[in-house]
Amino acid sequence: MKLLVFDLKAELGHFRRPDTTGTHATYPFITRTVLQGLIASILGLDRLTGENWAGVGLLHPVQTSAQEMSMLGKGWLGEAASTFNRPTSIELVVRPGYRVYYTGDHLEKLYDMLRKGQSHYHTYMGSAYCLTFPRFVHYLEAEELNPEPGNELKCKTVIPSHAIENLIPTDGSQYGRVGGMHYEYLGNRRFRGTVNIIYETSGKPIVFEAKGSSLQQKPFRFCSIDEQEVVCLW
Amino acid sequence: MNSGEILFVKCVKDGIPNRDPLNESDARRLFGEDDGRISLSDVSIKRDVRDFVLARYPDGGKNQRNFVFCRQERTEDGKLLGRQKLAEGILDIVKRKASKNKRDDLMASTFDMRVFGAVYSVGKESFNQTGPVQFGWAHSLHPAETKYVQGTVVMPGKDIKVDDAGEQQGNKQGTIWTTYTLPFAVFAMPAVVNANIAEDTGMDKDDVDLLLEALWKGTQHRQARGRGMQQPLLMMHVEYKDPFFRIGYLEDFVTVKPGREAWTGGTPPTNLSEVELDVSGLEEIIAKNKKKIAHVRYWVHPGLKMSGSLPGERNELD
Repeated sequence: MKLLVFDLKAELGHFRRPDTTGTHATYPFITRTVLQGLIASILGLDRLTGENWAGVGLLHPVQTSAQEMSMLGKGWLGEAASTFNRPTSIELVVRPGYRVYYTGDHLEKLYDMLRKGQSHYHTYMGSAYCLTFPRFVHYLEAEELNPEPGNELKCKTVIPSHAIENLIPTDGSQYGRVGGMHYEYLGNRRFRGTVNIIYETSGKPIVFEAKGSSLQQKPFRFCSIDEQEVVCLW
Repeated sequence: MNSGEILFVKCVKDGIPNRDPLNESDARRLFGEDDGRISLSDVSIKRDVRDFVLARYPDGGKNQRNFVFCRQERTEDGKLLGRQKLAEGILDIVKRKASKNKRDDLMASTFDMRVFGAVYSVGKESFNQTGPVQFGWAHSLHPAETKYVQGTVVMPGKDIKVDDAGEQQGNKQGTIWTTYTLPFAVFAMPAVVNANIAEDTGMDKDDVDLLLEALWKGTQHRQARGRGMQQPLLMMHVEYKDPFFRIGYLEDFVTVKPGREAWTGGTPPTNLSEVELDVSGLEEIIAKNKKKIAHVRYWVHPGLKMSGSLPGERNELD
């Protein structure tokens, strides 16, 4: 399959967890829906339609910082209050960097725009003040893999937990799990489904035994772009 | 108008323009002690812009286009106006109180909605518009150490009272204040301007010019003891021929001299005359993308020393 590879980096990112209201906590890395929204922004679409497969590798260790911001207060929302501002704590991902692997219906157009340094709309890491400018890396032929259950793989991207039969600890690695990440954006601030993700906190490869064929409701694919490591698209 | 990018560099002396309430109102430190840089939120810089426009055009200016929606306004008895009243106040002045299309009428009358976008949700009326202009956070171009200082106030916290025995009771001295302060720092902030979104909001070239003026002068006018003395140093506006193209990360192409060791040492720079801005990286990246650039203009503080030369048109603000 043809695979488009591009990098995202920024000084800050904020991928807000939907279950936080008063305090805005963030996911530790870019979510599926944010990434799809970012690709849609590049292409000038309201949202990404059709078939899309993407994988995310962490280029920098996950690090966050909490900042208290002065958001518009309840008075601003039209309720009785005496203060203009409402202190709100926001958790920010510091110096996020991701290598994105994409294939799907928009491959050619996306390749063309990234190669020329173009984007239709703004591109940012989850929140508008976290500006990012995608950088084209590769457009290459990748080999699709169909691992048998129990096959050991070394993956350079984050992986949906339902693709993993067994995690294998390696020297210096520290695996983390993110639960309840939105799976699909339906428009008008509506979402469908959640997915749980396994990641390595400093971006090292994840070593694991595969579960085998993909589950159809939240499918995933593995492909190889070099002999040593694979990427997981979902 | 064209898509483009803005790079804004400013300095502050003896104060912290944007503080972190979670850290005893010290400077915002996102990158940790080892990195040492401090930051200013985009929100604080947009406030400088809005306040300048509000002060300059209290009547909305020519054609009543430059009202500011996001502002603090109170009733006579001190209650804050909410979104609906603030919007209706503007629509009343521009004779659109019975507006059936609040979004369009507010976009036409308010500078900040056209430029920064808005989320408006009042009852059944709601709209959400991304702004054509997005600011990033400003980060210092060097590690910066803040100082914890104390002082005294001549006034005590409480008034003298006379007790039952007829004797005066009260404090014998004023209160003590404590604060963090920053001797000197230089910050860079990036911004992007998107012509495609500008078409949706009605933002035009005049708005870009006012935004740039407000960035520069709004920074100069935002003087307060706690915020320190702020000075705009360099503002560059790069416009592209292609509405979709961006160079990106312009702030990464400027560096400040002296380097890191001087800022973490015993005698870090404490004023503008002790630093130099190296713009040779900026010069190079702009030259590399020359064919895609429609226009470059920039403004420089007269006291700023620069190494490298900037291409484009040098401008002055009155």
